[in-house]
Amino acid sequence: MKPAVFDIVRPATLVHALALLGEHAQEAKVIAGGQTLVPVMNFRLAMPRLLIDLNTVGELAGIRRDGDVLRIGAMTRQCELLRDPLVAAHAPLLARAVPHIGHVQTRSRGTVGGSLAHADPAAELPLVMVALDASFTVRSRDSERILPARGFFRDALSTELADDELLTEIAIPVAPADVRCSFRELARRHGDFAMVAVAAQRSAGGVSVAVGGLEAVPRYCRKLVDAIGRGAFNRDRLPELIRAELHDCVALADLQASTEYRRHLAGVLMQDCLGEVLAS
Amino acid sequence: MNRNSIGSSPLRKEDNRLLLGRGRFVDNVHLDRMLQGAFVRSPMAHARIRSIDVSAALGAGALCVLTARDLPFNDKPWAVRYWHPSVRNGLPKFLAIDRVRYIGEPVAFVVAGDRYEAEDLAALVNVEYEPLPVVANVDAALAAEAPSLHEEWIGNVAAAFGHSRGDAAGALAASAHRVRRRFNFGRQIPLPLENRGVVADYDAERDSLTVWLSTQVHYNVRQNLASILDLPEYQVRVIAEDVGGGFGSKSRAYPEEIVVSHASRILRRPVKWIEDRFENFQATTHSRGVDTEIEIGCDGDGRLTALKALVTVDVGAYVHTSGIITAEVASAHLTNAYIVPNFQIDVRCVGTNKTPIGTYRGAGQPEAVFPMECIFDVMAKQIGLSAAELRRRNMVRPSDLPYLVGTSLLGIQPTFESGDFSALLDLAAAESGYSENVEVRADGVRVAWGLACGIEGGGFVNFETAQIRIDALGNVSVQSGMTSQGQGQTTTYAQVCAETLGVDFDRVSVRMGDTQLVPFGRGAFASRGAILGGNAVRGAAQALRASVLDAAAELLKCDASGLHIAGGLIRRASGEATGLSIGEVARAVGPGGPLYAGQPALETQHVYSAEQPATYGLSVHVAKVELDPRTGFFRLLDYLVGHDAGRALNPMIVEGQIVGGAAEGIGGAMFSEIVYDDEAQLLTGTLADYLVATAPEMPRIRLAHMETRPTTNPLGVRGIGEGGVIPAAAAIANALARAIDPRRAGHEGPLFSLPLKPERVFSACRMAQR
Amino acid sequence: MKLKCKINGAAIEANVPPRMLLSDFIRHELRLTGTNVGCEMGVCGACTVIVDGEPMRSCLMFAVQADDCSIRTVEGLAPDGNLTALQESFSRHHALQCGFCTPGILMTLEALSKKNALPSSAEGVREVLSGNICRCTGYQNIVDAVLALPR
Repeated sequence: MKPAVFDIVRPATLVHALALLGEHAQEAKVIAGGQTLVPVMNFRLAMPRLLIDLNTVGELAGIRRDGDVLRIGAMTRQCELLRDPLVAAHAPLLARAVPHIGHVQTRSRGTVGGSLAHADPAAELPLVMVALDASFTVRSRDSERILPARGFFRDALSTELADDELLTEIAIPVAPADVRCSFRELARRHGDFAMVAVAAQRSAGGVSVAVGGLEAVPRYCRKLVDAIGRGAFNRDRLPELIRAELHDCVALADLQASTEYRRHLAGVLMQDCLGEVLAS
Repeated sequence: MNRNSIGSSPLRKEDNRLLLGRGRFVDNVHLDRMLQGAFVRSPMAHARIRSIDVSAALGAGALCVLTARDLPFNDKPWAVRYWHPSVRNGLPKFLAIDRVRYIGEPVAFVVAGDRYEAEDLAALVNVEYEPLPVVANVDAALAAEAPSLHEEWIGNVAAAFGHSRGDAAGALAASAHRVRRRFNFGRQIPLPLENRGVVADYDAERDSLTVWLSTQVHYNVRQNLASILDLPEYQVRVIAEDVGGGFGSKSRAYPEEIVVSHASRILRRPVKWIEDRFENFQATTHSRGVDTEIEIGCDGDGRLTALKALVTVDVGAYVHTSGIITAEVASAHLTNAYIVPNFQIDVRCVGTNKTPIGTYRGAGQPEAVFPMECIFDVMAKQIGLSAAELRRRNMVRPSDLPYLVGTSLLGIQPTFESGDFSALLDLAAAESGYSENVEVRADGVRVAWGLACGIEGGGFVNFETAQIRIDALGNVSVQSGMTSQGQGQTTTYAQVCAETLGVDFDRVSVRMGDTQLVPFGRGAFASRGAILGGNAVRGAAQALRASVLDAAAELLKCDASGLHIAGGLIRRASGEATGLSIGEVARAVGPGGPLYAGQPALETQHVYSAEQPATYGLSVHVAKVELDPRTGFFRLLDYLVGHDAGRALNPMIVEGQIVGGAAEGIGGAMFSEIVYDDEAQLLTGTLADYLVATAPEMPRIRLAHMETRPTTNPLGVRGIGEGGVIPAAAAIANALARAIDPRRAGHEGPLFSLPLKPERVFSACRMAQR
Repeated sequence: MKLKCKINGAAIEANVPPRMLLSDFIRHELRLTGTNVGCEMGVCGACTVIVDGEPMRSCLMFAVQADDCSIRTVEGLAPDGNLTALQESFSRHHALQCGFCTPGILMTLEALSKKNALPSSAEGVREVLSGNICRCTGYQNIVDAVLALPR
């Protein structure tokens, strides 16, 4: 399983990388961690003529706090999310999700931006970003825009990114001091993509809950969030509200789970996660 | 006990080189002027080949492109070691001639400078296919008007046979209790971590061929290479020095080694082909895939009266040179460890447009034990006996031995001649803490135990060779006709030789996996390493010991019966040193020495031939599951294997085999499934879709040992390569069935299809609620 | 394309096609055949090496991406043949059978060990090994071998 012939360019700066992408958008692919792209190339399911290597663009990596947001460079390795105390302190929901992502050897190379741009329906990072209401900075040679995570994922393996655009930075609202989080996942084995996963967070400002692996894109449970609102909430209402939320979901079916079973699992995990964050 | 003894656990001689990264796996072979090739394989499940155009590939620089029309040996037969009389041909081609019958079937072979280039060029080979209607599964194969896979496979049945004793139908009809169920053991693959691979080096001047091959059966491969390529057999050398796992996937000769060797002959350069994992999924034999409809009857006391079963094996598109072993073994062992006075077991091997079936650790025993052990638990509920007690009442007892099972297998009448099955069952139950109660926790999670017993047969294929030689310095060198894929034979054979001959373990070197070492051998499969290979070493060591002592007696002018060998030195019965060492004896006996009588060295060669080639033993698996009925997800909290390995040559290695086998059995039960769709497209073609157990999923396996000695072989050993796998799925299914409802039956159906996917378990939970 | 890196401490200069995988570069250009290849899609872990201190799948990197990197393979653990404590513990605990997965597992553990990040519980060890498939041992003895190491 060897890849087809290609050329590779290894730019040192973001400006150069964007210029290359602008010029070669049709025939080029960017390579970040390679944990998803290289297998696909080894199978010759993708045969780009040119690879633009982002691993040499140092300025794309890094984690810093900027006022009330936590900024994560797109090329930040997934393992850094586990190591950097800023993440544990200011994005505890993210910190809880990372151990579920792949394995030690994939987190050492795989990147935050790479996972988000790939948009696998069962990936943990897209789900968490939707739950956290993160914003993505997306740049091309000539433009820059900020896109909300809730709206970035269009379909399975499809995002708002244009051919000549790069996701460069992720901004996560710093978690309030009274935040309670819960992240639960059902997978066949440790480190596998989720069959279903739920990320939930609650503070005085309200609750947030999202489901991943259930549909083509992570589902921000707007109806449920609005119904729960702020302040006191009777948890006995959860089963009925969860049913209402999931009523119109378009659940995926695959070798691991049928649509009905997946929807059922989502309901169970949502009950457990919300039960955890709503406990007084 | 020191490391020179059988029964001790010296660290393995194999470890150093493997830990240092100095293993000699086939892809590590680099020869001068070596080329690399890639196969063009069928992407169609069933099609006629209209044409193959290799001109583009040749034009782009391929050094050679072989298709069937380039092979002068298409009509040469495979050398098959054993073939069930009912099999109606269906052997594979070397390269597809006019038709392809499964995705992955080799069609052409392209040679270039390296594998990258070879893949580029293989993509340029233009094969024109004309699709044929696909036979996607057994039902489709058996339907009236189904497309025919092979002329000889009438009704797409590759083979059909049966075993019977007494009057099963009559006895069932008269039984106080009857239970009938259907079981499906899903298709699985052996999945060694090292894929297949071959380096072939044909030497034109000597008309000789050297082949490095990741294989378990080097002599059978040699025989095939010689007869198909028309080379003198002793001019063909097959080397399998380090092999990264086999598990039955490498226990046959494949078309690829024949074709690659031919390419080397044409090009007069070494040619390497290393299978990648994508190919391994398609073109290395699959296994399992057994559907069993089974009915058992009991009298009022829970004693089996009869068993009736239809075993259907989905054999895929061809029958490889290892025949239909899985079907034979599964049907011959369906009665497991029990006395069944009447049985009727019918077997049919059905062809489909899928990858051909071969053997996989257990080779039919897991497939037989799963239905029998699960239906036993159902019967136990029906009668109102405990699952353990029902088994005790039906197990073959020591007073029944020797017990003829009543089936026949590979020319053998399976016979239990040793072992105390009930005692092992009791031991396993006691040591594990097995109980038939269910614990229900506050959060609804349910915890329960399940057990299953599995008969394991080892040996089967007779004859194995060992050769032992002593040099002038007293070093001992053992050559064996076996191969190793990590089972530790280098170490255990050194122990057997050390103890039998009377020398230090550290002075014994052992080599195998090279047909040049001894003229005849077989290899590692069917758990025969200890039974056949170990006893061959023992026989050779005994004969050599006698030779040494005879020669020493002559030199010392005394009686040989008054001498023995200890630590490589000749000693008198009293223990007194004689001053003579085995090295000095070697010098005396060799050319130019005072005792020279025509032999080139102090050596013996011994072919061990077993009177009873098959040795049976029991293993009992006890599993504790924790099940969340809200989701169907479960995990194993505890797991114990009760085992009777006979004499353990090296207890550390024996335990390693059992634990490793259990992991494969547990992983197979929980995760592993090869899935084809209705067009015979392989849906689980990568490691992302085909799941095996990884470290976090495995429970700690506890072991309970019992030792009874079989009488079938001088060492008193049993095969232990497969017992770890055999009853695992049944033990877990029984635990889940109990966890869901310990008293009533009727909900287990979804659990009788492997693997035990969470959705299936959830269905069973739902069924129990109604 | 040119590439300069350090392999087991030795400076290496090479000129290789961009598409050559790091695993193939190590095995076939440098003839360091201790690192094995099991799947070429980043699942089995047999090809794990250490790159700049981190355990990575060498089948998912192109050799040219290792430019300016420091790589350690299994051959670099005990270059003079004297087994490290980890390797010795593997042998003592029968933590290998066919040995094909062993280098990948050793390098994963070595990387963690160098960071003092080796877990001290069986559950923790199993978790860090989740990305390495072994078909022979059932993992149990590997866990024991790691837990037996002096801390």
